[in-house]
Amino acid sequence: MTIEATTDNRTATIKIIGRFDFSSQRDFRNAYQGQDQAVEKFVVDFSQTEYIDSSALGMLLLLKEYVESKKGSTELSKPAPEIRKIFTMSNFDQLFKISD
Amino acid sequence: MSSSLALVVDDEPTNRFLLKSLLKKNDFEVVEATNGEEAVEAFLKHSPDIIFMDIMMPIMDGYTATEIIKSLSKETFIPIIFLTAITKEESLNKCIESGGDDFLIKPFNNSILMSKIHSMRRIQDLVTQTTMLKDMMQRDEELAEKVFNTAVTTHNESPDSLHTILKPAGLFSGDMILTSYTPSHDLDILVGDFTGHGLSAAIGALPTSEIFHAMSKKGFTGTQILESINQKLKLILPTGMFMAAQFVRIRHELDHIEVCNSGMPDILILDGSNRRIKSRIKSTTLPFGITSDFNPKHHFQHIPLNPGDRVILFSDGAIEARNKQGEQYSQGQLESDLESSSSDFAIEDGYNSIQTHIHDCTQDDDICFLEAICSANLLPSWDLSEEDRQTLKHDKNICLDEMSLDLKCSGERLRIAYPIPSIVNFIKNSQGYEKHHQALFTIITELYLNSLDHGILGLDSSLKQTTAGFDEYFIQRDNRLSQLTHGYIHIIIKCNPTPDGANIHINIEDSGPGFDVIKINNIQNESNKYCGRGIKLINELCKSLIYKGDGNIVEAVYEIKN
Repeated sequence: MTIEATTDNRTATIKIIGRFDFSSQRDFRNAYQGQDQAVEKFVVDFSQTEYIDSSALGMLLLLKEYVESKKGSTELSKPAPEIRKIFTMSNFDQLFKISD
Repeated sequence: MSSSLALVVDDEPTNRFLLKSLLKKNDFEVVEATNGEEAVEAFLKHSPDIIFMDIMMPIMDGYTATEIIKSLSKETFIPIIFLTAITKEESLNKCIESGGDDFLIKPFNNSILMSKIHSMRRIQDLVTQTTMLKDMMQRDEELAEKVFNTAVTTHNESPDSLHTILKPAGLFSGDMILTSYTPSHDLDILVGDFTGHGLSAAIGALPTSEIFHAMSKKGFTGTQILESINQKLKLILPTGMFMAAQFVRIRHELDHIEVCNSGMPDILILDGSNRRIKSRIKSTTLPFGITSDFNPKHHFQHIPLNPGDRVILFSDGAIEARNKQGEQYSQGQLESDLESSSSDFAIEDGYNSIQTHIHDCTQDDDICFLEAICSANLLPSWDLSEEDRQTLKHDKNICLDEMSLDLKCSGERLRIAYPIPSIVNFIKNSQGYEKHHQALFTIITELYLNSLDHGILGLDSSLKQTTAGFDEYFIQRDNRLSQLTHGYIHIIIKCNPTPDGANIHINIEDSGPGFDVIKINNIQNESNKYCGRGIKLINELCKSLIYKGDGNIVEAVYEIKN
């Protein structure tokens, strides 16, 4: 798995390529914690994510907590149907904005 | 720094002598070997901390000796540094391939050799640390397993009509199955899937199990149980950890289930006669422990069923099981396997199919299944067993002296009051009373709810005749209850001793216009599948049951005989 983090204006996009699971913890955390203080919006790009498990959901909750402490917002974008199904089953659409 | 032991292996005495002198100057003790075979012997005999190996030697060369020594020292790190005059690339690569950790070409620089030894020491420290951590982790996992197996599942019920399959992915499972009977003999089931395995799962499982078993046995509602569990997990689990769960209460009347699905795959109800899926309950809430904003009341559904129907629960490990090609087993496949199953329990066939699909791949995630066949032998009997009778007979603490309790709830209090667990706990005054406690709980609950539903809220049971109407009934109930402003229910309970025990008189009066309990519960109409079983049971449990006044007062007498 690799992570690509880009910043545009005040939005940071974190793209997860490959499997998003327990082994991704450190890299994912470094990706969002390493962003500039001015960043207000965090977008997690799932367009190239093959798979997520429950620890990935846990990491998203940690991201949300971090972003909320900075008064920012989070968005989960472009999940493949299989991944979207997992978000739906966990009702994460009640916690995150999910976009295509 | 205490002295370390070095093993020097070389067939040339001069080489051995030079290296030995250098090492002794640097505080090493030294033992020698003249060929590979002697090297292995010396390794076994002296347990050196570091080995210097030549390559070309008679009887056994350095490569072979290194392979053997490394295979004998898997648990610890014994560095082997090759010292050789050969400069061919292939030969040097082979040093590392055979298991060696480094090489130096002769004639070598003394200070470089010492630097390499220093670096090997660092690695040795790392390995020691790692082994220690591994040992600690192992102990933690063993603790988690013990906790899980005893504290968490030890109070579970296991009737014949209930079947479970639990197959962890690793040593321990993050999936948990809990079962318990309520005092009215409903069967409560909770299947939980924690993030993580081992100790991190056990941390959440322990309090969840305690709360579940304690509250279920006291007769609390499903809503109350899940709210308590969520609060507890929100408090103790760190952010990022949570429990997805399915909760099912199979009612003792075997006419419906109360169900809540929080982040798990669909719960399925299979028709008792042909195993077709007749109902499915999707996940409607967030998993537990994430938000304190959790109101299970809005997500509980009431789904009707018939005796013989099968309730099936499973975690996502079942659907996501992958084969060698990386293809997931899938929900559709599992459902089709369950519907076409022929074993006593449908989940056996489902599980076997998954095993076939995975073949010899490693299992990714914990797999767990539960199937409950909703027949009379799923639930405990109301009859006193011989064991119960003996307990009752020998219990010195049963007190059947006179007692009375007078409780009135009116107006808006009726919205939130659910006094039954407290009332029954008050009447119950000893362990030997258990079966009577359950009967009294069931009687008082049924009569109280009849008064509330029909007397005060004016609900009509005939709605429950269809599947859609069933859920509609409970939605109407929630609405009317939340808007209730006046009315009362008055409960009077008296315990009057008799020559051979006691009679418990239960009197419940509601402020409603009265209802015809037979008509409301459609007892005489056999074709009406969903109503009446509740009041039928009460009739059987009570010595007498009469409705008085305009039908808004009920008087039941329950007999205790020693």
